[in-house]
Amino acid sequence: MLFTPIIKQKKGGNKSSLLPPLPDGSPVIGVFTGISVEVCGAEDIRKIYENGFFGKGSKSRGAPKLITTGTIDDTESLSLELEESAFLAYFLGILCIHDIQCNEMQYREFLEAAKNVNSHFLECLGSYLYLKSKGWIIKSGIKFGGNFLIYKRGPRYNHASFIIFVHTKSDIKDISIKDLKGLQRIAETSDKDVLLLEVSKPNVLTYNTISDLAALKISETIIRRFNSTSFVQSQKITK
Amino acid sequence: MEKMSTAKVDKQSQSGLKRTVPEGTVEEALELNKLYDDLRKQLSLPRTDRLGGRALATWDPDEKAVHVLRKDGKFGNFGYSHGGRLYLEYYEALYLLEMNRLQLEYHSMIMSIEQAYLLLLGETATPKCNEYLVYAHLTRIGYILVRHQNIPYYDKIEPTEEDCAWALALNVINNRAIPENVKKSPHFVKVKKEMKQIKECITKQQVQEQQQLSEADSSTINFNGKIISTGKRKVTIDESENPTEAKRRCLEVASSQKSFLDCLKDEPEYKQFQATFAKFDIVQMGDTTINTEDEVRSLHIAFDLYLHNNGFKKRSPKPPTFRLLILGVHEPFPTHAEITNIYNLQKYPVPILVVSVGESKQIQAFVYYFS
Repeated sequence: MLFTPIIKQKKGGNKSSLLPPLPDGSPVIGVFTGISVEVCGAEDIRKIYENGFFGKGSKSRGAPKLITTGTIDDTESLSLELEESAFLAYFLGILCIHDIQCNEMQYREFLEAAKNVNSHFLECLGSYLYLKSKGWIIKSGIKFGGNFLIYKRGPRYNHASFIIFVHTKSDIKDISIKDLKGLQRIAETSDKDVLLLEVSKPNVLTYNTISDLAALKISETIIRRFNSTSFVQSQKITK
Repeated sequence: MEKMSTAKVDKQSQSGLKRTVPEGTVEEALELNKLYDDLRKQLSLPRTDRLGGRALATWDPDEKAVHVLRKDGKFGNFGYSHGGRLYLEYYEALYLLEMNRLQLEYHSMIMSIEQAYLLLLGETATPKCNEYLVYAHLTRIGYILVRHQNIPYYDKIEPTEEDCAWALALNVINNRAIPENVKKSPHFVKVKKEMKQIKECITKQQVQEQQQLSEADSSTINFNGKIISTGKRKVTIDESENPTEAKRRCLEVASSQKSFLDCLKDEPEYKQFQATFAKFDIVQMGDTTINTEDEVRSLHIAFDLYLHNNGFKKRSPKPPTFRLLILGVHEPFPTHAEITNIYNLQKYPVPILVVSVGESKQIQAFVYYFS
């Protein structure tokens, strides 16, 4: 059985414009608050969000209100996930992360801070890079119970194709069978697939430079429910 | 015919979550007693049955299996022959008993179904029970299940040189056994020798490139053409860029090592920014062959699954459609290494269905796609 990914287009997404998937230009400033990185200023928000759908509006569930309604609200900011901000800052060089005291945060410093928030941050960042390098638009998967949701062109044009669940080799045994079944059930009702990314890392992992992440290796597993009743009934009778 | 009366089900006992663990409360005991009474009432209703309508079998204590004395109805998909006698596997016997198609005798006494459960599944908890549940469920909805046999299936076509090269390449890359018919092929020895030479050529290339050039010139031209073709094929396995190429199943690339997410690489957005994307293409897909030294559960395949319309014959089975891996209630799902391992251990690779038996005995099957 060959696998074909589910890529569903959203109604009303105007296909005409070919948007660049990554922002470029001079770096913008983001402030690390402890759980996310906030970008302020209409110009900066527009630049980061429009080119690759990074982040979410602090006053909305998805795109910032600035993009959807066009109203400039000074109290609204763009919240970037930790993986997103690490990617934008250290791999793309488009973001400059400051801490609360307005000191610039270096790669290692930021990673340590992020590891305090999420102990699997390195694995998640590795998976994020892995997905990003294949050209997917990545958003948070928290509302579907996974780590990420990935879109072909972005949440404006497509429904997400996969729920990504990142785990390491050792903690697959802790993922209970119920959780995996639940995840699969949610994925199926929303026309997505569950993709498990198993990250294997060496015993000693250093993260002083960005190229150290190359030591992480990823394997993909997709779990789909097999409807045995409808499968047997869909088979054509050949005599 | 069985007379069925609709039992009035207490509405209270139906609400709420499914209860799968005994609680030991008074209410529970009352409820259970009530259910037992209902069951007894239903079972005590008089039933009429056609006596000759069932097959007859007896428990063979020496063979520890069910020996069929008289067949009735279609028996084509059941049983196995041993010493000129037809025996039933424990799950087959139980299934036929439940379907009211079999009368089982134990030292010439007719067994009840309950006794048969104890005899055939054993009194202690074993994987047999789950196997039986899966077998019964899938057989009822119309599949044919046969105990798993790890045997290669050959096409009647004589293997070509290309097949030999494929088999050798898969042996090196995926640790896959070389099929017997390929080994016997007249081309096999020749291709093996050639591939060995190619390997040497590649490994020594950097050191003595110039010398190699002159050597290649002196070797036969005919042979040279072969080198190129086999060498190329090996590369395409690594990158697996030609999924459309029709190959015989027996030699199909098992784990193609290809990402499921590469489909966007043909999109204009990707192509436009290819250089930028390449810059952060740091984290790579793991190589499955390296992971073998990790602790891997020894999961084994229980059944081979066939479809009715594929012309199934017990004597000369064709390759199955799926193979089933059965997981008990609290067994975790297989990891990537485990599923790859199982897949590659098959002599004739067929997709594997992971069937999980739940707490309340519901059966759910999953297909795995893995890189």
